[in-house]
Amino acid sequence: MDPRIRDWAARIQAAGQQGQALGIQGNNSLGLCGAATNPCLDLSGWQGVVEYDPGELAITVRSGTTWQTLLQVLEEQGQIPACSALQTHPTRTVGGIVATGFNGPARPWLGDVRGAVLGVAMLNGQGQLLTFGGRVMKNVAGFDLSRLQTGAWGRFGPILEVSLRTRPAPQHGLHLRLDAPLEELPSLRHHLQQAPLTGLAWYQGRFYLRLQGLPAGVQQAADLPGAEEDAGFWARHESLQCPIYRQRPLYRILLPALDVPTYRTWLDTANDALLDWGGRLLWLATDMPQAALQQQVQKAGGWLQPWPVTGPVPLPAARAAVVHRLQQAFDPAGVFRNNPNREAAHANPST
Amino acid sequence: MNISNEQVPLPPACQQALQALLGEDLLTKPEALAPYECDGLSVYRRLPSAVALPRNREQVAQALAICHQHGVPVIARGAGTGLAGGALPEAGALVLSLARLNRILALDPEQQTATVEPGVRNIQISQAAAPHGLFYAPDPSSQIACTIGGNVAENSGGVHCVKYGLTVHNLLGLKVLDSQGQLLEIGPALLEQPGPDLLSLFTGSEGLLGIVVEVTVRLLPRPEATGVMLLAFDHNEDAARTVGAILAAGLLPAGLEMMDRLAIEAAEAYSQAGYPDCQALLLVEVDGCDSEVEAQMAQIEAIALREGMAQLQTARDEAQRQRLWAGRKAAFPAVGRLAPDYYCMDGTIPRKRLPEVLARIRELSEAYGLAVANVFHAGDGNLHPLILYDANQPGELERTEHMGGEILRACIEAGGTITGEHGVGIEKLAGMCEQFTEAELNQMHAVKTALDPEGRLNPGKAIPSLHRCAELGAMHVHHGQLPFPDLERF
Ligand SMILES: Cc1cc2nc3c(=O)[nH]c(=O)nc-3n(C[C@H](O)[C@H](O)[C@H](O)COP(=O)(O)OP(=O)(O)OC[C@H]3O[C@@H](n4cnc5c(N)ncnc54)[C@H](O)[C@@H]3O)c2cc1C
Repeated sequence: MDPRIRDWAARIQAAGQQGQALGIQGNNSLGLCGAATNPCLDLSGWQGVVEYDPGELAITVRSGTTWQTLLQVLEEQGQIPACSALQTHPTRTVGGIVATGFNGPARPWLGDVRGAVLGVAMLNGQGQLLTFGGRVMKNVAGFDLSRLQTGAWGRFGPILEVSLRTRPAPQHGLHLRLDAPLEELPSLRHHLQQAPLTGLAWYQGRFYLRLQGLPAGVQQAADLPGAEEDAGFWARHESLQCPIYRQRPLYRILLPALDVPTYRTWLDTANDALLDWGGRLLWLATDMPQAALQQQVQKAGGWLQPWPVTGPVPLPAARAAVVHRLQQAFDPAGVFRNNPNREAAHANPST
Repeated sequence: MNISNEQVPLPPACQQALQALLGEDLLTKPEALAPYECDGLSVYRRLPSAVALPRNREQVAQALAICHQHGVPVIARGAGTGLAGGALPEAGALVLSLARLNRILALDPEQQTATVEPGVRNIQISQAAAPHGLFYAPDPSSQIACTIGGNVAENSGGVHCVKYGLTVHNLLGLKVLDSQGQLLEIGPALLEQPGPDLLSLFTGSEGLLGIVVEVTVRLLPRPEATGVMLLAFDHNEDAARTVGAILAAGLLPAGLEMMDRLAIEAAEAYSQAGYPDCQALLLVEVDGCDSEVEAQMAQIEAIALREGMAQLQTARDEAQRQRLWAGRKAAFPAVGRLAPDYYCMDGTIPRKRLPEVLARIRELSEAYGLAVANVFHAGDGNLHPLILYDANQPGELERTEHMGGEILRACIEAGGTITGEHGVGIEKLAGMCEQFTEAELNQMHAVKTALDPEGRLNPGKAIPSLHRCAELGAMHVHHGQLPFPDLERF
């Protein structure tokens, strides 16, 4: 047993006995840990590739490994993760990416973080070392307690290792820009239905497309009147460097359906807006009161997240009750009840 | 084998309440119950106390509430095609059939989603989507019969998982009733659900955590072009190696299936698909636009030649494709004609271990004197050895199950799992004891208790009690070979 795991397990057990709460941190890129009121298990040094065999289309890493490192390791073998993660910060760890579960610009086409998770090793609130899922593509033995960790914000315990699905990196890519009003989105989507898209966004009066795949398919889809090459946007967007990400207040709005008239009403009063995921995710910088916006988003069947995030968002009552019971099942003593540390988050907001 | 066909009646008050709710849609006579006494694992049979056939969600909720009140266990059932005994009744239980909740509630071609009731059959979704140029990707071989509710409960796969994923990858929202009939909605269908991933928790939970009453799935545009290749080999090992080589070359076929000699011969005799005389074959499907399909087929041909391919057949039009798939699709019933009974296994292993695990299965087959046909999802490393036996020969089923257990052990030892897509049910409880530690099983029980405190939903399935593990004599023994072997356990 690695002495660090033994140590974390002992600290969890001691905290449980003393009724103390523990936080969990990776590289603290969200700036949520550190207040004295909430001591943290520091997993940032817990790094490295545990197993990677490109032919298996799977990689296993320790949770403190940065997402950037993971991407590099895969790139050397011509692969990418089988998902698109939101890279809020260059030092974000794999554990943090999984625990927060935010998806990046290619989500509709490359898949979500939860879907890429094949297995985890973790400690629960009793300090027991548990592994769920595995390293193979298909595994339905027992409950899926590995994907359950996605979006859990560590409230079921620290993730120590993650196995993720990988896929071949696209052989060819093309980035396009098209000046056109938002209202053209439905017809553009229709036109691109067969295209090897990995990105379709609208920002400040322009559509941005990313086509990736086999050269033949990309070339065929690139035949779009009025489109010009522009790779800059995607580089900025993938690393959350577009100007909108610095605006406050900022909201990340998930939408159930493409509804241009509704977007238009928000856009008209917004300071800035970026529509991503081919129309299913809206970044909105607006001074509209949050409660009013929340109401409208809810009416549209969507989900509003104030940004930057400071912790898990409150869930609808029935789901919150289920999550609460699950927390008790993993962590009866409530060691991770405060994870992440909300106080610290308010003191130190960062994207 | 556990065959006790005594019908245990429901508590009278419970039966009355259910009768008042469902009228003729509550079955209690033994002859009416008989079709529900088993699922696809038909060696195990047991009569339920009653079968409820509700027609809408409200009736499902009320039936659950009634059973809860009277302490009656509830076993959800879709089409009963499950292969692990997941829907096997238990004495004193109500079988809750979701088959009549079979409406497609919404199909949105613009958003590429469909919202359906749990009793809708898998293939109906693709059929309804077809006029819009869309399809629902997970396609179990049982797709004309099995229900989407059953697919969710088992996290079912199909021949197109390599590229399009399992059920869990194609779900956007769920509505689930708990053991008291209370509704939990995981939705609306957004591309990211806030909070811990409850969609995944319920997917594959085999009816133990809740009753799925509504499912929203993602639909995909049907690819412009599709090509199918049949690669024939003189040696199993060459075929197995080719699987890894195709994936390592950066190709992601839509389907990648393998059949061995016995399966090929059976399929050919049954369906006259025109399969060549060979030891092993791979069926590879690629899709995309026309030029992408051509490019992928050329690349795959080159790889297969390098790995020792003996013969090649290709299909580009629908009729030819259907012919090549026909043999694979008929493989199970075809193998069924070779012996009175067959037992379908479902282990998954890392693909690179295919050659050695196939060799191990051959060894076991010889040692036990039971023939094995292999027809499986090679691209996922998901094996389906079909052990041929005769249940009427005394002791032969037991020998078969024993051999099956050894095959699963070989899968765990190779770094794999005891079930890739069929679930644990009652069939693989012993395997669970081997694959998981005590603490892990306890954690699963704690989750079960959190969501179903009285243990009403499908009790005794999927997650063995530690007591049961001890009884089965199959305590977790393979520490070194488990997933995450570098992490020691407590
Ligand atoms: C010939 C044949 C080929 C097959 N091929 C494949 C294949 O390629 N891939 C594959 O993955 N499987 C395959 N299967 C297995 C089986 O078809 C799948 O497991 C399928 O998903 C079961 O669906 P069902 O509706 O028949 O469910 P059932 O067998 O009725 O039930 C299965 C389990 O789900 C639970 N359940 C059912 N409905 C609900 C619900 N609404 N809510 C909660 N729990 C529920 C039951 O309690 C039970 O535990 C095959 C089976 C056969 C017979």
